[in-house]
Amino acid sequence: MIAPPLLEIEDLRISFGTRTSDVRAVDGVNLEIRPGEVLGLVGESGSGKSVTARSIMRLVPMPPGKLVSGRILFHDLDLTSLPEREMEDLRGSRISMIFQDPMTFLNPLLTAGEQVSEAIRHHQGLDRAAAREEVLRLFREVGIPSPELRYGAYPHQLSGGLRQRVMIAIALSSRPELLIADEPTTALDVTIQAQILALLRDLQHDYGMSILLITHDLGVVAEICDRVAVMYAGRIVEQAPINALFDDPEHPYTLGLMNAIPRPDLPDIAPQPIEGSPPDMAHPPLGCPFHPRCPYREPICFEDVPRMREVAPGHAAACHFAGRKAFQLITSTHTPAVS
Amino acid sequence: MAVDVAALAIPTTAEIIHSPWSMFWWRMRHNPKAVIGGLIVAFLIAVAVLAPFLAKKDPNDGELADSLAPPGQTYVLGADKNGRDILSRLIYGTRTALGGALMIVFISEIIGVPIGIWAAYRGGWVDETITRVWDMLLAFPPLLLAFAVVAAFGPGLPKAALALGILYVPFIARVVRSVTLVQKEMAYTEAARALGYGQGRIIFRHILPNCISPIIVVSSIDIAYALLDLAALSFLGLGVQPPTADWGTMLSEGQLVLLTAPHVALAAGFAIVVAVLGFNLLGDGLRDVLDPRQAQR
Repeated sequence: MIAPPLLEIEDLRISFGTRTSDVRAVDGVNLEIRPGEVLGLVGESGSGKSVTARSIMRLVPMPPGKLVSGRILFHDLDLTSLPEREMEDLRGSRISMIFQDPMTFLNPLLTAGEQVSEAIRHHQGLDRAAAREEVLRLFREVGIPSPELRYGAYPHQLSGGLRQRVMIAIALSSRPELLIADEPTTALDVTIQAQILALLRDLQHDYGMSILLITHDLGVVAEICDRVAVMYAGRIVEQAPINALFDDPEHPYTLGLMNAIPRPDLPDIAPQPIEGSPPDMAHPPLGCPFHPRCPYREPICFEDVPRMREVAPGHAAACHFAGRKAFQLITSTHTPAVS
Repeated sequence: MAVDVAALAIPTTAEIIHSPWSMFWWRMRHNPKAVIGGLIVAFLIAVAVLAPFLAKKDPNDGELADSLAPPGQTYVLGADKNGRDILSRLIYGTRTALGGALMIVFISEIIGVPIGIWAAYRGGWVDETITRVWDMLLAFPPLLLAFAVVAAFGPGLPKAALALGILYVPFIARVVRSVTLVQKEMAYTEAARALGYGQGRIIFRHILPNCISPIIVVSSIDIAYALLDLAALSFLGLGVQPPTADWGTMLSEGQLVLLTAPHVALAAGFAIVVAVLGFNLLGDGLRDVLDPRQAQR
């Protein structure tokens, strides 16, 4: 029995107008996030994953951005047409967001404690003293040591990991139903990354919220996600439960991403980059957007845009050959032949 | 909560956390320009406040018999044409000069800061229109426009200050606009929006405080210009009106007797030079102190 989705994105298309042409950053994304799940949104830089996430919060500057089509349903509210006033009430209270670089996303002139306290007072109407208590509680909860001391610290006096914990404390302060995490660990070093991911996983469990985790790192996805959506050139190309994705990737792009990960368990195999570079979204290729880089392409790929097809329950891919061709993960030094 | 603090490998030792104020004072004390400028400005403010105690004689009460008396026992800096003590007039003139200059800068800020922020935050045609209007204002020599205003509304300190204050709006608004443009694009502004804060809160609580240091620097330099422009207006008889003690009017009176009694004009001129220098040095020093990139050198 699948619960009704918490957030449903339907046919979202967002373009950015430039002087000469329109760049289609998000090109028909369909996505749903269920209550209490961690959904990973994976893709290269420029694949449209951040724009998709920001459009949920309606933080995409318009202009130059333009909503071409689509709806974003949060419960039964359409976030694309909600009045700004009501959107402000949602932001930071029912939907929260944490960002990549907590240094620049915290106000340099306010102490860590004040910034959390401000969010609490703004959304919950607590007075200063009660908010302070709540901040200290949150600081303990997100694992900030000596919270009283950190309360009065400015962002530049905190380490990257602590700053990200402060951001998380701010985001969690009003117990959101959905937390959007935009590359939350990219700016951190590996050990801190693991701590922050473990923290997010724990908090997700305790708070029962859903998380939309945006990342370019399949390793991060493997660590905490329940389901994964892979984005390429503004589209979702594959969507699957976490195990199905890693066991049986049904889109050559997903496979390419996996082949690009260093394999400490298979030291003979060098990571294999995906040839070429993502398409220029002002002039996207005809047919499948991935065909210029695809080692499995066939004539049909140059002409027809593949639709999402379900290959197993909950596992869909936008490839003409999904479920029909066996895409091989590299397990020897033999590389797949390019046709 | 399942997070084990000990396992997080984050140093828990208490760090000494410097308050921003103590950092500011430390840098100020180690910047010679800021120290000298600050001392001059502090001295001028003290003189203005304590004028009744410092001046031995009534600045407006003259002994005609002592007209143009040279510096000496009775009159430390001599007496002017009407036999008034120049030192006392200089001391009381500090009040008019500083008060007038502060009024000018205050007026320009009250109008200029919101306009600058608004132009930058709204962007688009609002920004275009506002910047064109102040470009036009900047194209005129400020004194010329001040003449026009005073000619239309009549002379006097409040009117001259108001006229100059409005003419100074572009100077401050320009700076505020450019720093707001930078702050607006900063990530924390986006984070503030993601927290559901309204425009007013974002502008006044998050953007404005980050624009304060350039505003302070520009203000102190603008005070120096305001002192000069106000003195110039008074010199021409359009600003402060006699018999009120003012450096500009003293200079103007002294000019008539420059060859026979140079001390009248010299004293007022010297006061203006010192005050302008003081505020300029303070402004320069503040810029070094408040701009971390400059301070790193």
